Amino acid sequence: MSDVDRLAGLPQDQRILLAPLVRTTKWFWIWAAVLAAVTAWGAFAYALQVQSGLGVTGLNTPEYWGIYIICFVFFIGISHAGTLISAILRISNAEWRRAITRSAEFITVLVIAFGAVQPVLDLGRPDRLLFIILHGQPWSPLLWDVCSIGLYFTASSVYLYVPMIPDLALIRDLGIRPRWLYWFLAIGYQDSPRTRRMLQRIIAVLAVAVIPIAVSVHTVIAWIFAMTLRPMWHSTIFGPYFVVGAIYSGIAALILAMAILRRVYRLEAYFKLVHFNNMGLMLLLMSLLWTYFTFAEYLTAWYGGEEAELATFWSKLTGPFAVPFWLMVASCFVIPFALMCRKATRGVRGTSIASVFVVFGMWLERYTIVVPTSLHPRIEMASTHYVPSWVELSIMAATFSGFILVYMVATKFFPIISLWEIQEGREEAVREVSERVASYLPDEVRVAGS
Amino acid sequence: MPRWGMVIDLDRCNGCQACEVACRSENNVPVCGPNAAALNRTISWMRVVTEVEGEWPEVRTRFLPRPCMHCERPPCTAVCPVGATAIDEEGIVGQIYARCIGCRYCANACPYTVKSFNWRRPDYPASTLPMLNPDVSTRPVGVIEKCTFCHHRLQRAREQARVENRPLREDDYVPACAEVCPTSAIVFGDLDNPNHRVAQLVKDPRAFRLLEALGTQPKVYYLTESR
Amino acid sequence: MGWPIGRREFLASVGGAGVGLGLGALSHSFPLPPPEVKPAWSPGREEFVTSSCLLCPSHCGIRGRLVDGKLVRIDGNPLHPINRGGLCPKGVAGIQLLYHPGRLTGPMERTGPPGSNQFRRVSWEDALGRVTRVLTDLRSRGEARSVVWLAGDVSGIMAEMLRRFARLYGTPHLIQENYADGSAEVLRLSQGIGAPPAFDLAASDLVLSFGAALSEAWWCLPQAARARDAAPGRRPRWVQIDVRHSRTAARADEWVPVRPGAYGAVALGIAYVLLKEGLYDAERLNAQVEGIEDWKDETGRVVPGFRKLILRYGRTEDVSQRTGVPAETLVRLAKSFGTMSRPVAVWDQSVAWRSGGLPDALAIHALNVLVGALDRPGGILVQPPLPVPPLDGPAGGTAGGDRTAPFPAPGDLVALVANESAPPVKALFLHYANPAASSPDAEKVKGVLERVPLVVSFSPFLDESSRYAHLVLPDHTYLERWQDAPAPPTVPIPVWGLVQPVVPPLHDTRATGDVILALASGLGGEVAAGFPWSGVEDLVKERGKKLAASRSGSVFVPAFRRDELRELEARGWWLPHGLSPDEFWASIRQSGGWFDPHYDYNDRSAASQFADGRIRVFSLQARRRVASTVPDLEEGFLPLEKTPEPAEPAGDYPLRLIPYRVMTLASGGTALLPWLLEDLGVLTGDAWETWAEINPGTGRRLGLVSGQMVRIESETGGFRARLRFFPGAQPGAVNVPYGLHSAVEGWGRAGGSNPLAAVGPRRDPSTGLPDWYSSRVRVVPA
Ligand SMILES: Nc1nc2c(c(=O)[nH]1)N[C@H]1C(S)=C(S)[C@@H](COP(=O)(O)OP(=O)(O)OC[C@H]3O[C@@H](n4cnc5c(=O)[nH]c(N)nc54)[C@H](O)[C@@H]3O)O[C@H]1N2
Ligand SMILES: Nc1nc2c(c(=O)[nH]1)N[C@H]1C(S)=C(S)[C@@H](COP(=O)(O)OP(=O)(O)OC[C@H]3O[C@@H](n4cnc5c(=O)[nH]c(N)nc54)[C@H](O)[C@@H]3O)O[C@H]1N2
Ligand code: SF4
Ligand code: SF4
Ligand code: SF4
Ligand code: SF4
Ligand code: SF4
Ligand SMILES: [Mo]
Repeated sequence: MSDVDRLAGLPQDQRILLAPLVRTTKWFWIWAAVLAAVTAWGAFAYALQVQSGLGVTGLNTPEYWGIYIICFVFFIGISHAGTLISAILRISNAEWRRAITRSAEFITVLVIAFGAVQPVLDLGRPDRLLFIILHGQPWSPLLWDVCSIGLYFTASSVYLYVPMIPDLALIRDLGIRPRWLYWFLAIGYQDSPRTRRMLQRIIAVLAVAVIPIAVSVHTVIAWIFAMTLRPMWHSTIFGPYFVVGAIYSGIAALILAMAILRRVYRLEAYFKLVHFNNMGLMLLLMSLLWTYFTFAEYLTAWYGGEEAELATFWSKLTGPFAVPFWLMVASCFVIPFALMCRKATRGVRGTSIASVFVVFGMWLERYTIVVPTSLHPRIEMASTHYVPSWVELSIMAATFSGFILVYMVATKFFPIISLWEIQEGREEAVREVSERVASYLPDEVRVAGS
Repeated sequence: MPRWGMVIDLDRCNGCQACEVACRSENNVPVCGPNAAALNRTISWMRVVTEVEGEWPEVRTRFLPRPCMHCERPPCTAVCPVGATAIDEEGIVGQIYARCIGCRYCANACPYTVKSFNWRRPDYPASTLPMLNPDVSTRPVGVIEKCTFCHHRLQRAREQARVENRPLREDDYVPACAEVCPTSAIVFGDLDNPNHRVAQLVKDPRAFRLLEALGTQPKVYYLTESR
Repeated sequence: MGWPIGRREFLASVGGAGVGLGLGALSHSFPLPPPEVKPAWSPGREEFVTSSCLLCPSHCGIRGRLVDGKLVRIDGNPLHPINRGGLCPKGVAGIQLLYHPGRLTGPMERTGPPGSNQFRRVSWEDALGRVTRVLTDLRSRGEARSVVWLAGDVSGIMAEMLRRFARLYGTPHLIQENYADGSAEVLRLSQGIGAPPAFDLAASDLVLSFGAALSEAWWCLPQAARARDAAPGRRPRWVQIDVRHSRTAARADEWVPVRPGAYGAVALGIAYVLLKEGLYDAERLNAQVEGIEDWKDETGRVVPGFRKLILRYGRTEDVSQRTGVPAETLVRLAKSFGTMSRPVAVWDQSVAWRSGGLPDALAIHALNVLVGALDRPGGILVQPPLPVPPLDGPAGGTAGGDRTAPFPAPGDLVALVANESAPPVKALFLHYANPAASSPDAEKVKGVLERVPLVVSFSPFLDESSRYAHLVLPDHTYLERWQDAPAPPTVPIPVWGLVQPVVPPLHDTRATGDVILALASGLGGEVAAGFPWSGVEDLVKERGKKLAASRSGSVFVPAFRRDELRELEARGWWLPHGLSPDEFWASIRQSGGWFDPHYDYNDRSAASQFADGRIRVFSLQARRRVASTVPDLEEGFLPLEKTPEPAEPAGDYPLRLIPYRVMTLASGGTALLPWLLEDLGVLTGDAWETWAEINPGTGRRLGLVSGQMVRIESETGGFRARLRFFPGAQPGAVNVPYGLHSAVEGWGRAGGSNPLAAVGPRRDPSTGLPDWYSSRVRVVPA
């Protein structure tokens, strides 16, 4: 019998959540084809760049870094969606997390990979990539970066994988194809109260371990810039500033993912308004944090009034970069704040719109960090501009499409919502929560008899 | 142990750019062409930076020949992930082209923007190959290059001195730009050797260094013009 | 056991992961293995050969660095008394001329139509045979005069050979461009000396330069550069009076902006203060100078003297009015010029190359006369001739050759052909000349080139003119041939630089000198008899040996020996060098040339060669000469227009065109050298293409933006350029660099255009010099 009718008889959760694994619509194929095409085009562009050098980009002196580095910071930022958020929620025992952690963790794992290749695309000599390991120079923030990203990737893969084992085991037992895959990935897990407890413990440890790693990643990326003496890069708050920005864009990305999944896989019953509302509140919080950091950053630059700093500063506020800068302010603060501070607009549509702006705005933020400073060296005011070439833009497009493509495919092989955690929620959480609540209440005080 | 350094007298300098061209010739700097020029991608280890201020008829111009400053505390070397740029024990900041992965981090870290990147495959017309200086390796596409204080000349001078077994003299090691300067505006030598002219010139009240406040401690000094 | 995972599957998955990682690791070394450092090389055999640079009139001493016999760099020759080891960017880039991919590899014969680049290789024998035949039967038919030689930058032996060849062959038409700037004419009129002035810059304490591009395109760039080469206190003070913020002005101690064509007026204004304040030595003046006070002419009519005229016309306010120079500046300049101990006023064709340039120059030189700068240290001297007789031509000409012959030669060519009475031109020889590109009326020149039955070019490149030639007999470059390089006349001492092959010829080319010898012997008879040498090398060597016998001067020596030598000769000593002629020749080749550091101030012939030994300011002769040629001047000859034109006139062509040279370009095809093209304009940072500097105010008023392409048009013609807003450009003027007029296939594509298209062939009637600095233009978006 086919996988489809296999599902028929199952309880709701399994029926709905496993559906994508066995049923594929024609729209899926259409989208996949389009995205694949874009990705292939980008690959071609890169091939061209490899064989004729970075001259095919719009880069120049002193604009040594451009789109690739911008995307690098951006994508690694997005990657903070999953692991970090889900870990925090897990540790804080936020019950509403159960439906969203899996999709979040998937974003992380897949996007890191795409983020991590950006600096490689940016290399003048990709063929010498291995030198970073062979001749690694521990003083270089770039090397710190390689390490922390590598660690983060491993950790979050494990962190994605381990909580998925029970579901994989379930699928294996249901005999859904490709059987060998699930057999292989389930690594012989047998569900039982004891194994569950074991698993819970491992997850708990991972959750705690993964948070500092996640924080370190974006801090180190910030340091790549902050360790130079360049105006408006050389800043002490860059580490936390970048982390905040990262989480901010991560949440936005997650909201978008949820909204889309909800739509295409009819998951209204699982991604409920409450989820969007809560995420919206987090978005609100982050928008305020981000604005606070941005303000602090620019105020100090301006107040210090150092010549070089001011040149960069004004080029952003009133100069050639005024448009991207104020667009950024609008889409990272004004719009999301306006939408998220009202419950009415914290629905699916509201949060999605806000998230679109935030994601876009955070890309712009990276742009206004990288480019203006590059074009304002301390000596010899640059007479040049930076106009990304079609090669750079193609490769950027390919990165986006590539990411979406693999994410789509992933949802075809793995339940995008954790079955066993939902189930666990149904069975135990209610009891647990009421016990927990009870434990908050004041104990009865026995009065000694008269 | 010598500490090689340079003094450039802005009062003598008349902005003729001979130093730029001499450096191109000595160090096999590739011709980048008009398109590169339009994109500001021309490679130049020595560049005469021109600062024009004021309005007609009150116009002031200053020419500032700018090689690599060979900072005593170079921000550029620390950030290199593969150690393809490093400062040697005599204070010369060098580039290892075969090691460079072309990340351009050093270029961004240099506050003096003296580093050039090989955006395209350098091309030397066949008939011009014989004029390449055999003492200096050409650079492949995708790596960073910059002024090396004509380090190869030091090596040659050392060999020469060893052959004639005598100590290295002040005028044994003179970079191409200093050699060609028609007004002798560029002086080169050992900053720690009181007998060398540079050591005396850096004590001149006109002496200053670029962006001294950054603490990079450049070993290229300037003497202000007398106006 | 409590572990939730079955052993078998666990191992399986670990194994799987292992394989995966393994593959991943492998994939790292893709696509290329790290490059291995190339095997150790042995430092090649290094040698140095001295010679001279011929890319501009300065003729600096150079030193080729050869490694294993290949020329890899051009240095300055440290022993050369003028440049002393320094070079300009052109001199260094000269090596790119030698190795230029566009060089012709042998004699070429045109197969396509005139102006095309369809040529085929021919053997030297055939080529020379053909030329000799034509020359022989033209001569036998008594049509020798129909042969024309057009020579660009030639001096010394090469110039003498050309003169002798022309004379012996029997044609008067040797048209030679030798950098005339009219200054010789000024000395003739005021000192009776037919030679251009030498400027003793280094010994002066105040250099007052009237638009002379001392650091850009002067006759002797290293001479000016070395005058700078001293600590602030110990070098002359530089004042640059210029119509633009030139590079020279930029690094002068003071820059005095002035309206175009107003140099003479400024000079009068300064003279006014000198005379009024009595800042001059009255006795000396009365003793040596004519024309200060009124005098009677042959008809007995009283002629107003310089003093009276100046006091009438030179009033500070009026002059300030005309020139745009503030009154106080004029006074300050005059006071320092009058009170310094060794001031000198310098000018060149920036003054001379306009109609009305002559009175300007006379007025400027009058300042030198007033402060007694003639024939004194740090003043105006005259370069003594070489102590050996020239082959031919005007004997006693200075080492630099006389600069009285006016430019542009190509113009004369056009005139010659246009002239009906003159016999038609049957054969034309182009040496170092590219008139099809460099002539202000290039189109006419091309017409001429098409009509002449035999055009022969000696250019090593297929330049614009060579494309019209029937035969191209490529010359060696200056790095491959024998020649000599005398210092330009602005140098106060005779310097004879040697040009010897730094490398053996790279291609099947021949030195034009040797070609001339071949033609001579081919022609036979007296012509052959006049050229008994087997090669130019013999002539050069012969001259070197004659210098050995001259009992003066010395081969190039280190600085300290130079001063020693000067001291000695000043005391009338001359230590015999005690070398045989051959040894002396060897040491010339070693050191790079011969020079004589001694200047004899007792020989007053450098002050005046008039019979009465006196000096004249605005002599009758000068006054008449000017009055008869230049209209509308005060008194007919003073450099003051009766109706001065407004600073910013209206009309179709409201702007002034100010063409100028950049240091990085020179005549002689340096526009072909990529290193220079990458560094073209240091002030505006332009490269590879022609740009036009305009004052930001003017630019905005015309609704133009910096960086856009524009067409610059005059009545005569127009050209394209990239517009640059530049505060150093004066309102109502456009500054355009020239030199990018010539281009050759092979290496980089310079987007150059020719400003002379808008300048046109006008000449100054009183001197016959080109009139380049009075063009009016408009700027329109392209
Ligand atoms: N680098 C270099 N040196 C050269 C040459 C070269 O091509 N390049 N060529 C050599 C040759 S062939 C020659 S003929 C000489 C020519 O050398 P110069 O005599 O220097 O000729 P230009 O450079 O044309 O001089 C023009 C100068 O006069 C100023 N000027 C422009 N318009 C006016 C005006 O209306 N009035 C006055 N008084 N001044 C004005 C300009 O600012 C400019 O600086 O240089 C020789 N040396
Ligand atoms: N646009 C423009 N026109 C100009 C000038 C300018 O600066 N710009 N300058 C004007 C002045 S002042 C002058 S003096 C004249 C000069 O005008 P020309 O005497 O025509 O000098 P160039 O125009 O430099 O052309 C010289 C030619 O000689 C060739 N050549 C180079 N090396 C050698 C060699 O070793 N031997 C021989 N036989 N030929 C060689 C080159 O191919 C070059 O084309 O031009 C005048 N016209
Ligand atoms: S060579 Fe000398 S004078 Fe010319 S620009 Fe360089 S430093 Fe200045
Ligand atoms: S100048 Fe720039 S490149 Fe040179 S040492 Fe200093 S930091 Fe490094
Ligand atoms: S570009 Fe080359 S030298 Fe510079 S940091 Fe990167 S690897 Fe090092
Ligand atoms: S020192 Fe050598 S490498 Fe550095 S600028 Fe001068 S010539 Fe070029
Ligand atoms: S100044 Fe003239 S002669 Fe001297 S190097 Fe430059 S081009 Fe050659
Ligand atoms: Mo000339």
